[in-house]
Amino acid sequence: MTSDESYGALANQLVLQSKLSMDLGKLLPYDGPLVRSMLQEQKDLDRKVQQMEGNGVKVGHSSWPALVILVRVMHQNKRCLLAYHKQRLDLLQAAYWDAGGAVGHVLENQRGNMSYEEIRYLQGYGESVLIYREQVDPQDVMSLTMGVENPGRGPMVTVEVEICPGPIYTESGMVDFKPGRRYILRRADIEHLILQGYLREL
Amino acid sequence: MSLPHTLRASVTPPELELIACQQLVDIVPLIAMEKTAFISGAYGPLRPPHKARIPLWMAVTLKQKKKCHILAPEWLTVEYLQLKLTQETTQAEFTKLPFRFAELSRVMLDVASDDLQNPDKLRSLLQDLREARQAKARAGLENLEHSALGLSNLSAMEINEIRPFFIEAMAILGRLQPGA
Amino acid sequence: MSSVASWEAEYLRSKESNATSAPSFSHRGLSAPLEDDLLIPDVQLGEPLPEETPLEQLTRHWMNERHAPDILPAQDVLLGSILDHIRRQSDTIQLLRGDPSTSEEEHIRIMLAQTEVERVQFVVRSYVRTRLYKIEKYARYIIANEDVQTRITTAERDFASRHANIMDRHFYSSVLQSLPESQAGLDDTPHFIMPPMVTEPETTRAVFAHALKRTIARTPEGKTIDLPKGSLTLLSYAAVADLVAAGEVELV
Repeated sequence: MTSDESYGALANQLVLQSKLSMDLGKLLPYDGPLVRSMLQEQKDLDRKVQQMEGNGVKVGHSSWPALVILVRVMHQNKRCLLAYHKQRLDLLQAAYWDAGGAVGHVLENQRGNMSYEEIRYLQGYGESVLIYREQVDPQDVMSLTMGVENPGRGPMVTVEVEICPGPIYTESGMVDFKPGRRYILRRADIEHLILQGYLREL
Repeated sequence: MSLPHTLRASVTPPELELIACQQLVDIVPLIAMEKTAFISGAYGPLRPPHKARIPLWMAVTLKQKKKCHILAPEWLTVEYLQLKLTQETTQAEFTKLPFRFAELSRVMLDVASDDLQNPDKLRSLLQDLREARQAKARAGLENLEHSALGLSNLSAMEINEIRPFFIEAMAILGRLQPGA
Repeated sequence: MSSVASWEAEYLRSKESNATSAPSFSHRGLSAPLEDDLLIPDVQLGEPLPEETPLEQLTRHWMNERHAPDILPAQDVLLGSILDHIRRQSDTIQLLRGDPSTSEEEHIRIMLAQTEVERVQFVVRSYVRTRLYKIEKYARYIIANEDVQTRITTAERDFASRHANIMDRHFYSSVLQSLPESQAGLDDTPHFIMPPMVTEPETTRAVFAHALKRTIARTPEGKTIDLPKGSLTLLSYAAVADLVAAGEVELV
């Protein structure tokens, strides 16, 4: 059980993790043990607060400042917990759109870093976007999940193969991609391969 | 989030370029084309060697396939830009330039410099103009004290460049003088 | 149907289906807002004409939506009509692609049409995603606020509702359900201890307003700011929100 002086230390650790994750721009492994420790700390704090209130601690009482601090630490802990989870959700959503809406692709890369709830969240998010898309653009005229960062100057794009995606059917026929080689192709045919990292745009 | 980070607070130069390329330019076509219905309007017919007026994006695509020459707009000449540069460096206000001159000149210099008269000189004049105007924009930032600031004659690209600084400055002012 | 006849049919069709779109060729050169200074360098910025093509309208709404801190009124009729147009144009292109007798001139026409389709798709997609971004960000605010709901489509409102649900469910299952009852709500922190988490659009944020016609902006404090036609002004979004929605001002 944490002593009085170290209440709030766990929250600092959690904040540091969020900061590191933001600096690196990537999802770090979900820290289940730290989260659970903080949730336990909340229960302990709550018990203490109840105890003190039960003993008549209120404004003017000598222990009132100590009570106020405990309450403050509880709110801070909760805020940190929510912020930690929210920051991770933002990263997962970004990964979803970066992968062109391929939930499976994100899971392949990130599953080891995600909590069970986060996997559920990502699947729910993907389904929600799909429902929206079907309502607004059932014939996929606008290609909602394609990139929004690169208008490009024309229909063609020069790419180099990073990872072999295998033979792909394009408008100009079957392309048997070889590693390290360059190709000039219709963007629309292979944009998803660029998004998923198989091909690199030059 | 459904918008990537880079797009949340601003517009990117490629997007500004996309919009600028909707504008019409004069070309001399090297192929023939019947009048055609595009989504943005009907263009053509193209009857070499007669001039035609088409959107810049179309002119760029044709030019890249060597199927047209692009005719410089009147403002993209050494004489005109030299005049503007002189005005710019001798008056406090921003001189009038086409709103999307930065994007338009960049595209045309990239793709059709052989159709332009003295492209290197054009580039250097445009650079000088850019610097003179940037200095004025910075000065404007220091003088930001009202709840509204008139910025007439700033171009699209320039607005985009100063955007984060000016928005931040206004936010700070707002906190200092609520209700100003 | 021969390729020439295909294009002809599409051309005639687009002429009659939308009276304000595709003005005749020579007209177009004079009718581009902000753009006629290409012809006559000294013409004032922003001589908007009543006839904006659908694509020009969409572009304006797109930029407005990108710059505005709040969600603007939905343009689903315009969007639907442009989506239709893209689809028809794509169909025509597919048809002509499959025709083995196409000439070189025809190939070029097809390529130009395809290039344009991708450009327009990009604008549509970016516009829709921009709105979705705001809807995700302010999901809980939206489902509690009737005023915003009047500006979004049913599909967007349903999306907001689903999004708020999956977020709430996530926070509940990851954190809140394990907290003591007194802390188990999302918004129960008193403000003197901690400021509220950002959940509402910050409408006081500054924007660059281009006046499409002479008009007057009004700040929430009651101050009026004159906006001459064609002027560019940096001011608080709240002062021009109505004007943007009415098409008198655009954000650049």
